[in-house]
Amino acid sequence: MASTLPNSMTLRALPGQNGETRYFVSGEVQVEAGAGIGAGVLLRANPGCRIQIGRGVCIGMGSVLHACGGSLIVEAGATLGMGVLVIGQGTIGKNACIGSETTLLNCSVLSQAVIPPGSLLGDPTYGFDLHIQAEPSPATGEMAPATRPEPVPPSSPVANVEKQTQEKSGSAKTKTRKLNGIPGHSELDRLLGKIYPYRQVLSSGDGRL
Amino acid sequence: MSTSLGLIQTRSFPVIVRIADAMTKSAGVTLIGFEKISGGYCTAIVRGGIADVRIAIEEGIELARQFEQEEISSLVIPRPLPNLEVVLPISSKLSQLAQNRGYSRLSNLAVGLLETRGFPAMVGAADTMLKTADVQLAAYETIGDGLCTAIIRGTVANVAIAIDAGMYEAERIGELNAVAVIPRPLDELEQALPVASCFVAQPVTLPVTLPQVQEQEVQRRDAAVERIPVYLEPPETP
Repeated sequence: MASTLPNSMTLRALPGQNGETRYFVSGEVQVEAGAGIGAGVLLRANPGCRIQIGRGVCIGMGSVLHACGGSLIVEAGATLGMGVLVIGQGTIGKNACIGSETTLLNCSVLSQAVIPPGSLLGDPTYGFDLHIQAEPSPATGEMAPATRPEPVPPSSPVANVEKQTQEKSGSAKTKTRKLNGIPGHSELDRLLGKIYPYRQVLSSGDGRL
Repeated sequence: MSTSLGLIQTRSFPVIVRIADAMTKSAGVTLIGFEKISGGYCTAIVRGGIADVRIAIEEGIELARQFEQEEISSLVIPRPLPNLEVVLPISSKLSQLAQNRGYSRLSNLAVGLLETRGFPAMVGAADTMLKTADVQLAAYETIGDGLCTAIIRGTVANVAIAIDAGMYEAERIGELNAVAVIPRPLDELEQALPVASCFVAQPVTLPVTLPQVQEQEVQRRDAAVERIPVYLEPPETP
């Protein structure tokens, strides 16, 4: 939650003002039925990664979702505002609401969480500032309820997000790291890549991230 | 025999086999075999000209570092004395005579190695590998420290897929230690790898039928000798 940009400045840059209704998909992207995706949205999954858009998800126009280093999952009913930028891996929980012009870098969002517009989450370069902001949460929590009706203090999503990502990927990540560190594993991966060039796209990627 | 000697040691069987493969392909060295002392220590032994051995050992060390092996130890002896060769298993003739085995039916196939810490994980992984792709489990090898290696053979695509599947199964059951795939092993590497007796075809035992043939010939010759004087005498006397 580092910066809030004036909306008028960013609205002008959005595409889709001239009747354009398409969105763009690249890589392994699964969009479940009932998801509403705005014009000019870019969904891009790097090789070996995937994007999963759940049922009833709403993504505002001009948003960019770019999965790299793992899977990016938007769970059912989540709403992403206009021009949201999501990069890296993570999970956006059920019915979460991400305000417009928000940037999420390699972080997860709890279900039912509300992220105010123009937030910046998970940026390692802003980590120190975030940490300072997050620690005296009672102080910011007192200020916040007046402007934001949700019961969750505004700084807690960030803290919870970090905790959640650590907990969720804790077991899976240690296992992945274990497998990646095995002597000969990377060599085998390269060999398989040569034998089966489209293997990564074909496999669902479950448990192999 | 005044060839140089090269040794390199790591703590994993697939890694040392992979290193031996790279060494035999990098320079004109002969792989003598693997010396497996317990505790997971495996040593590959190569012989050849001093230049070839130096190249091969350097190549081996580089590869071992790539595999993040902490404990690498290596040695190059330009001219080992004959006494050393007689006592230690570093001479090629001795090891070949000691093995003295038949022709393996699994030659000219890619090799896959999967090493686990603990026996159940290896058995589970071997079962999965056999069920995943068209591969044969050639043998298994234990090197101490709880490390055991399943060795599979098959075409390279089958071996790669089998190892990939076996890897996850081994990790699920126990602890995976190392994997390696060698698409096209050289003959001497194949000879150095263990093969279960069921895959070794013994040479055809010809000498068993030979004595009978000889006996028949002897009988025929005796019969001919008896007849010859009877028919040949009359024409010679007039």
